Amino acid sequence: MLPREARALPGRTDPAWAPVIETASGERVGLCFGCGICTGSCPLAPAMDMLPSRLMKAVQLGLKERVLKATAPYLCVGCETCAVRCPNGIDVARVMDAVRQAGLARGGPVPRVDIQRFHQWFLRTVRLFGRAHEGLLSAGFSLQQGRLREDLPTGWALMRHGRLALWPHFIRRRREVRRLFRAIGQRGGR
Amino acid sequence: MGGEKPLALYPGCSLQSTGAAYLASVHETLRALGLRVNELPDWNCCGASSAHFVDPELAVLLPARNLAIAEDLGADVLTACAACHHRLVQAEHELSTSEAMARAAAKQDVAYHGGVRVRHLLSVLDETDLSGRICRPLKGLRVACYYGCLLVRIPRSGGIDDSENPDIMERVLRACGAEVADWQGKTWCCGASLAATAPELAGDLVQRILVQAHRAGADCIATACPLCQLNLDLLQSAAAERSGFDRLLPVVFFTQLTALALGASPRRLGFGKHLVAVRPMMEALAV
Repeated sequence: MLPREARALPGRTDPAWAPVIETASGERVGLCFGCGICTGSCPLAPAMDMLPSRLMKAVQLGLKERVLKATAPYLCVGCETCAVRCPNGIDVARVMDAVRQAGLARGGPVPRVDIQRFHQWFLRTVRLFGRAHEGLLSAGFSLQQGRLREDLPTGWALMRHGRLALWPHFIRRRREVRRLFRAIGQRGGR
Repeated sequence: MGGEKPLALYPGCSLQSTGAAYLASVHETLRALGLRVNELPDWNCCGASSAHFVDPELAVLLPARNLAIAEDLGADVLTACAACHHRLVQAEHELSTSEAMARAAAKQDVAYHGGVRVRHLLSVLDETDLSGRICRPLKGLRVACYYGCLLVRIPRSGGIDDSENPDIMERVLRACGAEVADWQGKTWCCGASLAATAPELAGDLVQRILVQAHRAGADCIATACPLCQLNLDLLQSAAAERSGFDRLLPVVFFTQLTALALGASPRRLGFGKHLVAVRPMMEALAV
């Protein structure tokens, strides 16, 4: 289960990183014995560049740079199948969260910037209105990705069926929600 | 309804937009049962998967504000959306078990002290005696109950039913006179927001689920999640083309079926909003 890089690049590990991820995720990564049930359960494993069980091993070893470059934590949708099946009770999806959040907090290139942008647009609408606005989210994301033309038929189909509310729902005390975003500072994106 | 506290409905953002048919049918179901439930006042977005994508604190603080509003009202929260349910339950758990998180909330003037129960409508219906209230039994309708991920998989706090083979939606719809399919896909992931960011991946996941529903001879798929419904509805025709299905399966909200069975007018249940036409299913039901 050892990622090839661990063998090929001695000295590239940061043993102090595992505890950092353990604290951030609240999960005991060290308990993972590499059974692979998370990988076998993960609906997105076939598309991942680092399988969940390998990522767990890589975190244990402190292969920080390798893990932060992986797209796997961006493809993880948090379905929690791994979490409810792990024999050691580790919520692997939360480890994925912690790894991704660590990468985002550090700044620099993001392995799947498109997926990051999608979530930023989502949160932008929440900060603006207090509630998510699917119309602005899809339009903004689609524009930023330069695929408005490809996405238009879907948008039109949804609109025709009365499924896209054009006007956002504003909550009254939006200030309280904005304050929550301010509390996490730059981590919430712009 | 269990407990003496009143319930306040937390609809969630999708139910005001792409999932409007869900909200309409939730209201019709509650009304048919004579349950008076008010909306949680000034509720905000739960953060869905986007808040925990970027930050663990935001993922708890956004739902926490809603819990605080409910606490102030002396109410428990009633959820319909699977993702909202997941986030609210998770936040309640973290606020009551992690002192650091409770402090973080207090620091932002989110005054939540605990004690609010988050209940999903399926659990409420499961505890309600529906016999004698069914005026339009869903005779002959074979339903594939689809749970997706978030309702049944809430690590540590526990989902609304067994995480591997839940049965709660089956019980409710059986009580409505429907036949339920025994099938494998009920807790498989639909790809969630990857439908927007990696449509080819979400398309594969949706296709996998549809193949199983067809194999089980289902007439329709019932969901409890606005995003699952959207993905299975929107990506179905492409998936059907790839798999060579001879027909499309309507993807309905379970509440559309309960409301129908309880006698609500189909006109009020948002069936016109479905991309895969619901008409064949309705004709089979003679509604």
